[in-house]
Amino acid sequence: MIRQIIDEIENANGAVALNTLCLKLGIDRSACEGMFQYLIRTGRLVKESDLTEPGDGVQGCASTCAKGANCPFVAKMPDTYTLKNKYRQEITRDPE
Amino acid sequence: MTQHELAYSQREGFSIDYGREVEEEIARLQAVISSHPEITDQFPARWLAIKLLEADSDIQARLMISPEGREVLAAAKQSAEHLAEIYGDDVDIIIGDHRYGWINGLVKEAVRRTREDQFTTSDKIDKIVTSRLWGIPIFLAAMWVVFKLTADVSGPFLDWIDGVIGGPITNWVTAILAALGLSGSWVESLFVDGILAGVGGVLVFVPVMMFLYLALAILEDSGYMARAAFVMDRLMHSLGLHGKSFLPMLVGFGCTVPAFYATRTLENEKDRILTGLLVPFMSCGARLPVYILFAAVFFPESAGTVVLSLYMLGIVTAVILGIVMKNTVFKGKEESTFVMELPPYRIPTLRGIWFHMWERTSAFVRKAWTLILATSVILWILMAIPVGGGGRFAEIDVGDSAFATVNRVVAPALSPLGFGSWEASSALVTGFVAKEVVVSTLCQVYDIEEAPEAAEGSTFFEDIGEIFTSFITAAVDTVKSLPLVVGINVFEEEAEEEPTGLMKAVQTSFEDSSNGHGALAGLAFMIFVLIYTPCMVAVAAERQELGMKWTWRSIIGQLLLAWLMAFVVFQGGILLGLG
Repeated sequence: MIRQIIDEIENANGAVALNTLCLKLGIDRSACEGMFQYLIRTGRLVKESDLTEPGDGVQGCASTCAKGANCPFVAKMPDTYTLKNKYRQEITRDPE
Repeated sequence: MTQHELAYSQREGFSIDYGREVEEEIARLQAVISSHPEITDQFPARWLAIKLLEADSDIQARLMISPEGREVLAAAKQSAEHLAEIYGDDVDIIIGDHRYGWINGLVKEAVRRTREDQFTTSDKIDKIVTSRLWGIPIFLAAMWVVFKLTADVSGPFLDWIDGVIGGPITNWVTAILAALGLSGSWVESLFVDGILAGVGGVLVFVPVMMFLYLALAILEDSGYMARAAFVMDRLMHSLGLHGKSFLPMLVGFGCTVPAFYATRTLENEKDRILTGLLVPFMSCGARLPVYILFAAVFFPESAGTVVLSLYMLGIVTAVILGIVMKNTVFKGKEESTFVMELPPYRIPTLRGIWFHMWERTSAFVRKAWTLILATSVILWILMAIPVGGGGRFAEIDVGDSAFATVNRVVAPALSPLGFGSWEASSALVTGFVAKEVVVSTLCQVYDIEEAPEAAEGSTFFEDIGEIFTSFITAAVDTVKSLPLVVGINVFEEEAEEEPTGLMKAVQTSFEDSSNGHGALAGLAFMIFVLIYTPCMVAVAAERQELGMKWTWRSIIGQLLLAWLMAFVVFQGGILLGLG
């Protein structure tokens, strides 16, 4: 199941919707969410909901807007999950 | 009994069967762990063995501090390598596969779901809204409704505020200054020609911004905006750009500053810089007053379509530039697949919509009272300083001022674009402070003689009554304007709206500077405003995110591109006999 999810994301042509992915693989949505949490915990997926916010360290717009995440123009963007291949261990097999 | 059965039988209570090879390695590790009571005192042996095979970094760090722990870690590494060789995959995936395979099986056995449960209403809507065939047309249709609403329906309230500022408020300020004995003095000029013209000229567009933010709030709160990002992501990816680029671009429709910071979602530096360079082409809310004004002057019948076209032109320009740069300066293929969690569709709440709309509109108003007020005062001072020895401070024609003299130097560079007047060039120069300032500068530089909005000699209470009744009329007209979104005009029987003083001044000036091709010059001006350098705060954000080198390239590149595109539109239009 986990391997199927990873393969599906890797082979997708662009963005994949989480719901579509679960339905396509025939995985129950609740189980699918659990799998995503597992993949995040193991460092294979990175959830990037917070990164669309500018952060508190940055300047507001000409001091008239609230800074950081309170900027009124920061639209709530959907959470995204990016696959991190760098965690994959290199596997070498004996040539047979 | 096989080794697998032996290992499996050694488990206490319930546990998942991870398969023969994994269970054997778990049992082997369990044996190593159990030989160290100081470790088993802290962690159950089987649980720890599984965590170590999954390469849990937190557990690894805890064990690393003791020699016994390091011995267990070494054994775990050996087991993980052994399993990786057997399965040809990472152990955490093998374990996860077994665990969630079992969980998924259990859910399927225990939970009965109908087809309706599996396919929620959101899933059914998404089948159309995010489909490869309908996704883009639906996005364009949604944007068309947004700009039709913004440009056409906000009109009555725009006229109302214009009337209130140009009438009662101007009359009150003039009356107060006259009572103070300042009538005809430079103080009156500062208030009326500087502050009221500059700040008031921007505040007139508050209803436009409110309608834009209302429409965007509905799209956001309903869950559609996430779908728009998804659909456009896919388009960007298919064009060879990083799919995630559109997320910052979408933020850029509100304000370019947070859009620059949103480029941090892109982990690859090349993609991040490329997206940062494209973000300014997304038309921020501050540019909208310019489009609304010029579209109303030169394209009154199709203002909404013109405004939408400008937003689309920004996207198309960004995509084309992106493709060019991706294949030249930022060459290199990077993987950009990711999963997007689309929220379920919801019916937006009035409170939520009001909150979003008010927050953004109040930011626009705050800017008018701070940055734009300060700029208006500075501009007024520059326009009050005589050049060439004629006239005294604040008693000269604006055309003889220091401000006009400086901008006459810039104006010839804009002549081939159809707007080579010092007034137009000054609006573009001050637009670097903030894009709202473009309109406020035009209000100041054109010597507008407004028709009196309120009867001379009317009392304060009569003015208040007039403001109230005209507000009711504007509200009724707004409701009547709603069918305009679908092309039904219920105003046909009524008289055409009289253009404002600013509109007349813009039209006359652009007709003069373009030798009678005012509409083409107006369109070229809008395109120039769309493409040229963003405001100074956005540039500061760009420098922070992309560095000085790319910021300078971006500023110069955008100026050149803006000039080129405006030139092509104006000169090409004349050659084709348009306008």
